Amino acid sequence: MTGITLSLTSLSYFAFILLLVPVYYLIRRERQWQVLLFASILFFIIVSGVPGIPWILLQWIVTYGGAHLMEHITSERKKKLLVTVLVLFLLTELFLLKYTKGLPFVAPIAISFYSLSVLSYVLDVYWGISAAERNPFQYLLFIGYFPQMTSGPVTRYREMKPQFQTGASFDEKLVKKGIIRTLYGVMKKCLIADQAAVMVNTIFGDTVTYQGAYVALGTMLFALQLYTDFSGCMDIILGTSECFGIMLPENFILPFSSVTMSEFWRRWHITLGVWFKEYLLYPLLKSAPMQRLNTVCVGRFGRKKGKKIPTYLGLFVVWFLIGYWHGGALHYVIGSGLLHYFYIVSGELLEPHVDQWTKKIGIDRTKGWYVCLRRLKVFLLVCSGFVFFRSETAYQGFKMLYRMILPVEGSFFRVLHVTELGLSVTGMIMMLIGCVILWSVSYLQLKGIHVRDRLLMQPVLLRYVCYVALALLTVIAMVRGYGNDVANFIYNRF
Amino acid sequence: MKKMYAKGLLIFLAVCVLFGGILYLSAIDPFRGWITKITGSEAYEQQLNASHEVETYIEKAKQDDKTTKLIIGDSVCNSLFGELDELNPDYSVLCCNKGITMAGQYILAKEYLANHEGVTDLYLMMISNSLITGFDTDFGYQYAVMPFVKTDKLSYLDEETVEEMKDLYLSPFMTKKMVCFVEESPLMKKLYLNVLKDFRPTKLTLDFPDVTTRYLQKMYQLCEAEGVTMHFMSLPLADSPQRREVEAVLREKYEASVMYELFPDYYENYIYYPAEWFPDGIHPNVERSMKNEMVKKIQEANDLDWDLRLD
Repeated sequence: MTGITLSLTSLSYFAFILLLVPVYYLIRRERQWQVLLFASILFFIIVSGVPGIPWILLQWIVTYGGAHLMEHITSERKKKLLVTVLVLFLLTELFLLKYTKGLPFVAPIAISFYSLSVLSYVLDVYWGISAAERNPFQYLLFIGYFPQMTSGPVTRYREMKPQFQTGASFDEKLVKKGIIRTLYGVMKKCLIADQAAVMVNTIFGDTVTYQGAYVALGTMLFALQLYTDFSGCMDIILGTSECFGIMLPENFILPFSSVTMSEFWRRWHITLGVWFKEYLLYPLLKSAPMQRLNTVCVGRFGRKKGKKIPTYLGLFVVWFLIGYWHGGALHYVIGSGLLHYFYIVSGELLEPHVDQWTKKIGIDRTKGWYVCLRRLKVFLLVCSGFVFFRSETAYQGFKMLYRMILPVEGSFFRVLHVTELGLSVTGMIMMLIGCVILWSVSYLQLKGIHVRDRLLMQPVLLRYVCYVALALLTVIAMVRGYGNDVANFIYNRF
Repeated sequence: MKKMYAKGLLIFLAVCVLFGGILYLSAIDPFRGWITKITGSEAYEQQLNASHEVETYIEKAKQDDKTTKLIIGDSVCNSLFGELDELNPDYSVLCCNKGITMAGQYILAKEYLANHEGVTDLYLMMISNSLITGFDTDFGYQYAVMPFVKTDKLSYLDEETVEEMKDLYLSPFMTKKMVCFVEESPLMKKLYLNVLKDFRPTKLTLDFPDVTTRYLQKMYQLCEAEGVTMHFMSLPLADSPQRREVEAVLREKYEASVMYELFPDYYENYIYYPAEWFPDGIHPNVERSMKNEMVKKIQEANDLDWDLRLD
């Protein structure tokens, strides 16, 4: 038995894809999904191991059967009872496997991601948005579709079903775009995230030595690391899926170009936010107790203010659970949940006042410098949440925030010895090169220019030089991270 | 699709050629330095010493320095006896590292006996951790393959062992040319060693590999044929419940093996010391005087007529 792994940045993963793509397109379109199912089962066994299989099979059988049963039940009360049982079953399995320590079970990889997708399927069938799937194996493919098996995105059955059913004809342009995106993702991960991780680990690993600007630097580098790690991972997943003609939903759209915290969350981990909005927030706000609360609040505080109270209460529940979903620990609840809730709600409450003040002193809020300031504000607020996300405990998170305001060696204006943070000068140069590429691509995207489309329109020679350069840069970046501890994706653990 | 695959193949070949070029240059100055930096292979440049260390011992075993007693063993042996080499003109101390395996200890013994006259004793001292080390993908290539190939000592090993090594490390990587290339290129070393680890990860088992029992036997037979007395002894151990548990399992296995027939006293003379004297759990990190006490204890426990000068 060899130690073959299918990490998204491993050569074995690319060999796997390279072998799979021609097989996929050689098969008749209506049977292509079977190739993906076979590949997904193989991928799951290699990545998650045999102990994870019973759990995913259990989810598959119970929800497939449950959804069918739900369609045949006419009594609304029984239907409600069944959907409650199914939802409770899924949540209990997720809770036991993922968030309960000390139990002798092995959680299958990405259970937090595919459990949400399965929940959405069950609820969609209950609400009549989707019909229950007749083909159990096509449904199994939805649960375990291999590109999204490690870190999402969270998909909905109604988006995936038509794509699996119809298959795809070979589209050279699409496959090329998929390959370019995959390589770009690897470059982001290996050239930026893995380099930044070295310095971040040094700073966050020694909470005694580092303080002040070092902690601030470490936090900002972690923001860079997390973004390039997770979005790089998504580029690989979405790029790989594009090679099979299957389009997965975007998870990141230039999040650091946001000017408000709400906008940030519409651009960062989009599918998770959308899931919580559609399957938790809206049903919660529509529920009878919330409706009653709404009536009471409107009666007491007036229509405008009164309506906000149940919404903010619903948002509190959503953000608490988003934080909890990340790992079931208090530092995640704060760093990825409640702190953001506080920023979003206070942002919304303050917005009219800020608008008034800026008008009073004659500031044009559409001016470039003001937009930049707002982006910086969002970045810093997000960073404060990341301090908790990166820390081992909530206490360490608070401690790091406190240490951030302390002077370095008795002074607030001391030159930081960044070369002593574990990353070599060459590593920093490589990271900078990666950042320049990332920034350029993002800037062009912000201006509505899609680099991949532009690249495909260039003359043959230039195009091929770019392909080879990108591939070589990716290979070098992969070699740099090969054998290092930082090579794992952060979101793989969720 | 065929057209696209042809184009893809072309790009793939271009990247392979370019990367092959980088790999080739990574062993040549002045490119080695910056390719090592760009590919983050600096740590593998520092690992050059592993092979050199063993080569030095093999070279030393070759030199007829008029000594008549040989002390070989693992790194724990080296920490106790290494410094005594210069103080004792009759003794040759060639304690190395567990990575060379028992086959490596055999090579040292054979080379020493072939180049020294009037040898009377051979002392082999190892802890059980070293006895359970066979050819692995952690240390094996640098401590065993590289020095054995570079000093042409593979011929000292039997066919079975060489085949086992070829199976694990792959034949092309056991040629002198390739070994020298791997040594010269930190990038190549990084890629090769990590691919080895990925595809054949080392699994630690509480069992003695064939290479240990086979070459201990061979060494015994070699000494017998040369009229040399062979002593096989244990070394100081950290006293911890885990260690005692492991030793109990290994002792049972040892007593069921052929090694027990040759050296029944190996497990009788185990000496435990306070665990805090062993910061890494294996190597004693104490004053020289305390190490000398440990040496004396070994002598007493094994009833040896050593005339070692300790200071």
